[in-house]
Amino acid sequence: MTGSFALILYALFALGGAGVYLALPGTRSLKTAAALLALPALAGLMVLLATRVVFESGLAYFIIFGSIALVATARVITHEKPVYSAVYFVLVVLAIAFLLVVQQAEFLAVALVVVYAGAILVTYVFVIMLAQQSGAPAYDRRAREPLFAVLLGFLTMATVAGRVTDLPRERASPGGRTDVARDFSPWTQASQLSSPGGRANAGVRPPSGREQEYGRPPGPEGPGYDRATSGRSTHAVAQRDFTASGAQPDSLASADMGNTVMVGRVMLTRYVIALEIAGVLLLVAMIGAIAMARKRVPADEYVPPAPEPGAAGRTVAPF
Amino acid sequence: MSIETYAKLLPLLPLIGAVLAGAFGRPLLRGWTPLPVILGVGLSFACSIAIFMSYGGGHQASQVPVPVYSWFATGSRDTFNVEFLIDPLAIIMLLTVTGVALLVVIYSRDYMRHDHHPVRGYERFFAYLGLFVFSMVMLVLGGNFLLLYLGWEAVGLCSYLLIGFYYDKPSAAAAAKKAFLVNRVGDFGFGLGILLIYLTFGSLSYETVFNMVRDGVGGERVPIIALLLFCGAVGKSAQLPLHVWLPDAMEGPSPVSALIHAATMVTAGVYMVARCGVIFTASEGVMTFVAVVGGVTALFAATIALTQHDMKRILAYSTISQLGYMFLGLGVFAADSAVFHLFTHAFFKALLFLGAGSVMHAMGGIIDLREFGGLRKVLPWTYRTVAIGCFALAGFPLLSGFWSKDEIIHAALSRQPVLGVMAIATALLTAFYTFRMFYRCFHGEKRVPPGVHAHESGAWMLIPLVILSVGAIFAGYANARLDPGHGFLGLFAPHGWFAHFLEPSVSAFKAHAGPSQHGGLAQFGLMYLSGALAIIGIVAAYIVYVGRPQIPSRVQAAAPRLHTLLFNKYYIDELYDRVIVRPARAIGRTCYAVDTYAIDGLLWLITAVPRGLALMLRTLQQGALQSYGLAMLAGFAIILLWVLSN
Amino acid sequence: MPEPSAYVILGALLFAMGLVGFLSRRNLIVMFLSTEVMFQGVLVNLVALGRLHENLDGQIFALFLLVIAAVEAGLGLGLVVLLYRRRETLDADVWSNMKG
Repeated sequence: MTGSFALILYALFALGGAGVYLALPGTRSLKTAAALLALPALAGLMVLLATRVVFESGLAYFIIFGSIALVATARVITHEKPVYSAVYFVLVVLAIAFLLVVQQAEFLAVALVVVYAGAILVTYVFVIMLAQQSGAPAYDRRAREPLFAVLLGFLTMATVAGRVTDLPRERASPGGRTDVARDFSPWTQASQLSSPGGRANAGVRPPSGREQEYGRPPGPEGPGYDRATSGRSTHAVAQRDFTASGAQPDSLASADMGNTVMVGRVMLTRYVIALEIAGVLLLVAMIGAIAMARKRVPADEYVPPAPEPGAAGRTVAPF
Repeated sequence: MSIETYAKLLPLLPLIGAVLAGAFGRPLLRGWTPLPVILGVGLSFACSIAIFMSYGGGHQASQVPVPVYSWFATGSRDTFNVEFLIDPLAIIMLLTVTGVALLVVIYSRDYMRHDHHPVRGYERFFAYLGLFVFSMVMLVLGGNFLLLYLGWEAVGLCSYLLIGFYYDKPSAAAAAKKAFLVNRVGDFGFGLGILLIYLTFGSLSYETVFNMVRDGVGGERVPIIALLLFCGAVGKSAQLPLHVWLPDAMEGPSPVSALIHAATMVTAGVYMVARCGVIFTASEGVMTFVAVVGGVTALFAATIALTQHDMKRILAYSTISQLGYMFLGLGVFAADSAVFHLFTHAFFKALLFLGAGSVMHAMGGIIDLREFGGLRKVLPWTYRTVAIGCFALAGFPLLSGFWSKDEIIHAALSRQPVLGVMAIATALLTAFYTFRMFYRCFHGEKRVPPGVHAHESGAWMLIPLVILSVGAIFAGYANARLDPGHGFLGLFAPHGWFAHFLEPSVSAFKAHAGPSQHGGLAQFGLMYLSGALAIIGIVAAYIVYVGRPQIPSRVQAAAPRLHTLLFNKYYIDELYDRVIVRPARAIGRTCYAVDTYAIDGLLWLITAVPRGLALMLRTLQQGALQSYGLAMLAGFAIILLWVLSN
Repeated sequence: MPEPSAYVILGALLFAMGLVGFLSRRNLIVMFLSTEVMFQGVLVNLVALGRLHENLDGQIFALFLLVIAAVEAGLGLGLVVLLYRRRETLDADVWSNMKG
């Protein structure tokens, strides 16, 4: 079953890749044919994932927003006009943000929207307005070596994805899992490591190695700071991001403390140094940006004519 | 000091002089540059006199071996030593070589001083001269064939260096090359001969080899060895057919011509044959061959000398001719006569060359007889000394040349009558062309090339001339003994002290010689004949060139083709050029073509592979970021696949 | 235990398509945009796999990644503007001085 899963996956990827290839700007840009290839591939992928993979919840959300994200990404990379690419990118960001909310990472989702869609994309649009020549200049009308790019990109990704799915069977989890599909099991194994005995047991269990480090997951009393007494100042904090009860990790509703609070807590205790360093990084970037902006750049005396689109690629041997 | 010590000093002193002159001439000695060489050669002359005195002839052994040091050993079998052998022949040669060298060096002090040398010539010249004396002494002193070969090659080298002394003159450089290459041809045979000696007899030492040959070891290889050794003599002593280098060697300065190409180096062949008499006399045929070569060469060269205009060239052909006489003498088993002729010839030929140098010095470097004439009053001392030399060369009675030449003619007539007649004809021609040269140069109306200030040479140049002329007159009496009542003019008889002194060295010739050639009125009649011939030749030349100067042109008009043939040296140089030089050049061009096209082409093909590879790889570097990115991604994908599949 | 396979595949797809866009488009800005798309893919991956390990490390990492992305976008665009001022074009192919 796992083998067939991987094979179907590969086939879908190939189909999708063909579609993307056709969609890339160039003389062979055939949007409708591309759509005809890529969209069924996308649909097939969603169906495959829905059937083969276990979703505790959020399957519908995944399908919707995942599809939106993929289609928008395809349009980002294949549209001839950069402004459209930027706008489609906004769509990608929004879709990803929704997916993150589904995964109960609300803070991150909002941060994503604010930073990306709000700041970065605006900057992009400004620069496009600043630098983009009117009309569709030559370099936008043809992609460079689309075949190899698509081939290699999808090959890489297929390798990774196939590996994800195509592993020999592991022993069944001792937990009370009843879903057969969980047999392809790197995740099961990882979760064994994380919490042997499964999450259904809310009771006391011997701490795994991970729990040694992170401390016990908070019990019904909820996560709290009283673990600090265990002797490790910054490390002995509860980090369960999910409901204190330990059940229903995929529920949309937050627990007593929202994700934001917990992120804040972890960030300001465990990762405070990284936080400071990030601040320094931002400062340095700001200084650098200012320095760059002040630079007087004379235009080159000689501007070599941009080669015919695809010409540079043509003179290069494969790769 | 013993003979051994003198013998060891003899080669070293000129060598040290040469090194000092060459190294310190320019910075230190300047005008005194000749001094180390003069001292070195002078001291070695003194050593040879000392050896001569202490040798004393007859007491102890006739040979004094002087081992110097052990040079190298091959494997465990044989050791090659540097060893000298002092015997009468060596002593005679040493005296001749060092004596004439000393006079030449003294002469050169003035001759080379002013405008005869290119940059850095003065010390270079003297260093080469010293080196030459060293080489010649080693050749003569050597007690085995290895040292003989060493000296042989070394004198060839010095000859090359000195002929090509004016190296920026193309004709001089070409002449040096020609000399060296023609000598190489002869030396090739010579080397083969020595190898054969080693193979046959297992040793290279004179004593060992000669004893073995006397005992009959070697058998039929001995004539072959003799012929091979004679190849070297033909090359070194400029006999037919390897004579072509000697006339061209006159490109060198006159002292060089006097020392090397008249008195010493070219006589090395004669010395060698005399030394290896045991080997040569073992075969009658070889001796005949030697005699024939000598006799033919003598006549041949004399005919060419009749037509030449360059004074030094006339003397060069004369040298070839006289060397032919010496080989003729050797070939008819008259080795003592041959060596005696070598001895006297050294005197008058060196004298003549140095005199020609004096004329050249006065004429500003011109030596062509057509350019000047009647220098009798302008160069009085040169005139007198050269006159003596010419008389000696022509064989005027009672001068040295007369005695030595006559002995050879007599011996030749006894054993090879044909060659004897040729020798007589040659004698006549010799007298004629010698005085042709003399009269054209010094008699007649005075003609000096324009712009030349003709002056007599200085004392440094004249004194050696005078000394040599004294020797030219009296050297003959070394071999003429007083025999009152009998003999020539009722007073003299040949084969005197010199022959007696030399006898232990050339006993092989004596042993194989036929019945005694002494005595008989016939011989004395021959002496009268040869004296008369000389006088006839001199008078004839006077008539033709001084009395009636229009005769030569008429004779030339009467036989134009003969004259052209003789003037162009029988076209032998052209023949060699056609037959040897051009094919060799063609082979060289072929090899060059093979080297350029085949071998270099092969290399080019081999290097075309990396070049093509580089060309292909260069296109990878388009400077385009995305292509690089693609390449990286490709590599990453491959690695990923590999890792994940294992 | 949430099963992250689907999200991993989604993240891989996003990443791969961003990579394709980076390698094949010639417009400098669209190239940059594609790198941002790659960031998105990584984000999704991080969060999903973080959930697998039941802690917040993934999300924290993702936050810092966001910071880095912002910084990079800012400086990168500044450089793009400078490059544009040099050559008056946004074509990535004009920058091929390392050719050969």
